Amino acid sequence: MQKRLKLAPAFSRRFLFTFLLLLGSSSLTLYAQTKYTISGYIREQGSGELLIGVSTYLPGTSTGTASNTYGFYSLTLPAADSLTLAFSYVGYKPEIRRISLRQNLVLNINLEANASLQEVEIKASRQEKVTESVQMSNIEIPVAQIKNIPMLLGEKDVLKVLQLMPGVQKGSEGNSGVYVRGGGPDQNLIILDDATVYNASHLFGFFSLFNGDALKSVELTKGGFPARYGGRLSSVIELNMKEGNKEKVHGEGGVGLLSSRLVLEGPLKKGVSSFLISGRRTYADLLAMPFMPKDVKAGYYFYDLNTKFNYDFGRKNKLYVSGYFGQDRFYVKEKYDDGQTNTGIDWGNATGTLRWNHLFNNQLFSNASFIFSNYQFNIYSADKDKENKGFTLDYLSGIRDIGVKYDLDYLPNPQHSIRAGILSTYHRFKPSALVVQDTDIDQYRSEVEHIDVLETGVYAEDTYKPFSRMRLNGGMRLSYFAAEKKNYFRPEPRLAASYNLSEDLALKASYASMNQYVHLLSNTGIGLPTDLWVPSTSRIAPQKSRQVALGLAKDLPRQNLTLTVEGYYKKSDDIIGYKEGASFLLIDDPESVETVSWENNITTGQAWSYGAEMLLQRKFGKLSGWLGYTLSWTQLQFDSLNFGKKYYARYDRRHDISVVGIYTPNPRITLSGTWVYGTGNAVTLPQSTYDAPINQPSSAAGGGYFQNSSGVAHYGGKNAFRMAAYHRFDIGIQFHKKKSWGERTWEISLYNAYSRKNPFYYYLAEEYNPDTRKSEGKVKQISLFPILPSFSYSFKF
Amino acid sequence: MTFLFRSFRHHYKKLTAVFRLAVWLCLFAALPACEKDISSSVTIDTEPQLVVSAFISPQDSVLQVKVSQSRPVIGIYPTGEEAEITNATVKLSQGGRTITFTYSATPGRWIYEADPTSLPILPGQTYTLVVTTPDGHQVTAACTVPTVEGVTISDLKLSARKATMSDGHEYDEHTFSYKWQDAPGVENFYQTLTEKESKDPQTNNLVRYQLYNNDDLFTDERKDGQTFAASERYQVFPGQPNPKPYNLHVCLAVTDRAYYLYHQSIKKQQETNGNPFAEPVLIYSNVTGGIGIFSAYNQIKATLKVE
Repeated sequence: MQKRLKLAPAFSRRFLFTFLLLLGSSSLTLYAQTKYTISGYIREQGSGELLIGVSTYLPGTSTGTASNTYGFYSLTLPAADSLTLAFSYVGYKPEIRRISLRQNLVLNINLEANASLQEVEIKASRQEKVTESVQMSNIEIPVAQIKNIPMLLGEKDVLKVLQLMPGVQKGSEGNSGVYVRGGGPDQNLIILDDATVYNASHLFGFFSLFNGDALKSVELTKGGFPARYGGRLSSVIELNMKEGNKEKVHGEGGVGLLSSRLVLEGPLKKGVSSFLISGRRTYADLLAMPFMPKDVKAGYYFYDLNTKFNYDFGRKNKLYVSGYFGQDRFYVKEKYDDGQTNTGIDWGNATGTLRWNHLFNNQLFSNASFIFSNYQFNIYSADKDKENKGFTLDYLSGIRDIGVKYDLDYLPNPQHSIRAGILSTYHRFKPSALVVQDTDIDQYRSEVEHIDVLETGVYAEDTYKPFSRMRLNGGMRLSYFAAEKKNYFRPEPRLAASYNLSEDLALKASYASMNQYVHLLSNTGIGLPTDLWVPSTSRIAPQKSRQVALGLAKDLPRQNLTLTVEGYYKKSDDIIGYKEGASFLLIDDPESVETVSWENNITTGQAWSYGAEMLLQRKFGKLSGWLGYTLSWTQLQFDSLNFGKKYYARYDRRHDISVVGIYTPNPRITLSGTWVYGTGNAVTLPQSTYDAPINQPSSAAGGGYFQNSSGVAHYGGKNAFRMAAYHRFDIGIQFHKKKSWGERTWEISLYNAYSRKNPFYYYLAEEYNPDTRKSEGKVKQISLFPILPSFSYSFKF
Repeated sequence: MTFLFRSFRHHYKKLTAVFRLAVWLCLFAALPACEKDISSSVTIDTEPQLVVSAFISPQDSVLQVKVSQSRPVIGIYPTGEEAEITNATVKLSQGGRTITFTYSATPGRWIYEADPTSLPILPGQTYTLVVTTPDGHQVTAACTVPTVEGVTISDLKLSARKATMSDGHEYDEHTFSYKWQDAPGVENFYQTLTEKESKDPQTNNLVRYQLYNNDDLFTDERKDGQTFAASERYQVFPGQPNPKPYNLHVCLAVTDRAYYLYHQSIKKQQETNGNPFAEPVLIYSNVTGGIGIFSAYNQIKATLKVE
């Protein structure tokens, strides 16, 4: 024994020491390479509402992540004895936690709302920086700001607020149709709690569907679309509703000139399950009734209802159920001596979703959604005599969706944020359903056309941070559409990149290829609910677009401002428009009541839109708001319209300026003002009339001769006429008062404060001038709204 | 007759219901609307344009060109006399030869005429029309006369069936059908016309009247080289004299593209006149320097004698 030890004394000791050192250091490295995951849910203190997009980061580094749509975040970091983690979100007090990371950690956070919007603590924390997000062409408006912006007749409208953003235009006066980067209103994917909404407005676009009191977040993406979105060419407007306060019963409501609304939310089981109900109804019909002539009952009303319910089964599973139901009804009932006529238009949406969150482990989050959406509009006309016999016409059109959606969020480390999923929707289109009954000539005709199609998209995307200055989002979406007789398969590559030139300045670029399989046939004029939703078929190819965008984003943290300047170019192909002379009512001949296939009523073409946008925004503070400017061109070319020549789109708006300011000097008063300016719409207006004779060939000897037709209108080109520019100033003031039961607010606002006669419609008239004894042609302009004051009362408890 | 009246009444009733609705909609939506006369501030060109219309065919016994002025939508409307153009220079040329038209003697007809024997209209040839007015306007247009090679009319048939009106009375419904073969490999357009020619029992003269036909324009797009079929119907009521023999004529005009587009656009614009929901229809024009149409056609005929 002794002899062996003596054999290598010095050598073995040195060897042993080196070996132990190596072992020690390698175990240290092993120890340093061990990673652990911090994950959890981020909620609002008090209500328990999950917060979307909360920045979770290590201060002083660029390592971080953001909470997803369901408030879940996950950060995988190397083990450390002491780690500082910060959570910050617009409008909330930031949270800082010091933790020891030696195992996987579940850390749920409650953020306190910064109701007083003080600027004191803001400088100390770090706000969400546009320069740190790879997403470009994206607009987020805090719901609280939406409630402070003065609106037409006091009706707070999310879509109208989006129209105040650069790159987003409105159609005509009061219309809430959204035109994003030269795309029409059907090219926006409007999602409410994962369900697609087809007609997003009440009263022909004057009021929107979405009750601002019940909304949690609104996000608009105009370009650089990540692979998880598809199905529309121009924009994605994602709206998430509140889930319902999990601690206490709360309510919010308001009484306005034209409509009233109420939101009730509360827990069903404290901390575990909650509900939310919100409703709205207008009473315009009751107000107009005394002005109706005798024997005529005409009116209009709309109502909508949202219901939500959710249940928290624990960390791993959560269930959400939401439903929306809304209807618009417009009716005219006239009584005659020998009978009565009943005419009207009804339209409405119904949506329902069932969502199930499942957490596989602290790095893999999943959500499964079952979606239902239905839109229908109906025109009816009944002409009955005293014995209830006569003529009835019932025209229906609609679309019904049943869909399944499955998404996975995988966050293996702070450099990669991977998402993948599938969305499959079964659409049933009913472009025209006609029922005609005439008891006089004993005619009954019923024609209902159904088209069933399947639309599927599979995607995978990764947000990759190779090094601290750079972020890349690359993805691929494979879209597949099974029409009745033809299948379409289209891959859609997406790429977005962001590079920090300096700490607060980033250069961003993106490319997105989009396809749209579902189309809206919209009338040239006003955005009526008569617009038809139709699918791609073997004759009508899907619409497609490719967009590139390049921009700069700058954060000015000391002034609490963000500035983005962006240029874009979008080329769209196979876009759809109505043929000349086409009309929405697909009835060719009332006697034989033959429906004209809508496929014969439409034609395809291409579009070019390009321009530049600038946005200077402050999301919170005593004085908040934004200043936006857009310079853009949108041109279309259809072989069978305008004789194949390029022409400007109706909504082509060269300059678009919006200035929005919200000033809160103290918690009791909020002052707000909006000024908008836009170049006029391009419309088709006759320039002259002339006699256009028809040739009358003859079989008699002598050949043909002229046959006169009545004067025809000469248009001089489609959309060749520019309406006058549109500008308007709105101002509002709110008085808040805290009461024992909650808070009440009186709001007074002025729409179109300097009463500008903005053009809504032009028409031609012939007037006889008694002085010159001649007829004169005149162009008349119709304006809709002069200065309109409104008062409303709202409350919160 | 009663049948026609009843169906018209229903057409009218339904239309008014929908348009009544449209009126209410506009009223409702435009409750606080304001109207303003902006004729002085808009930039619409108020200069009248020269309108030239002409159709030529080898079958013409007289060549006619109609010259008029357009009436701008803004401004004082000119009277008939003020708008008439009597001193325009109208010239038609082909292959180096030019003829000048003269203003027609009947005032108000706005027509310039010429004798086709001085410049025969031949199939396959291209003709150029130039109209100049003393105040400096000039309109130019050209067209090529289509050939009828490869186009043949066939299968002229007359069939009759008994039909009843809603009040129980019987009448005869005659259907005159015919076919024609399209010339393959060439772009063709057609206009059909059918006439019934019979002896008027009172005056003993041959009277022709056209059978009503709404769909008279055809194109061979996607139907090149195929057979076209068309038919027209007419009614013979009990007690109505229908002396035999009589002739049924088919006159098929083989036209150029401009002819088809022009007539289609006029038809569409007239159909949708007054419908606020319809898209505006642009009238086709193929002249430069003004508005109008200059096109050519070539006719082939066939007759069915009914004993």
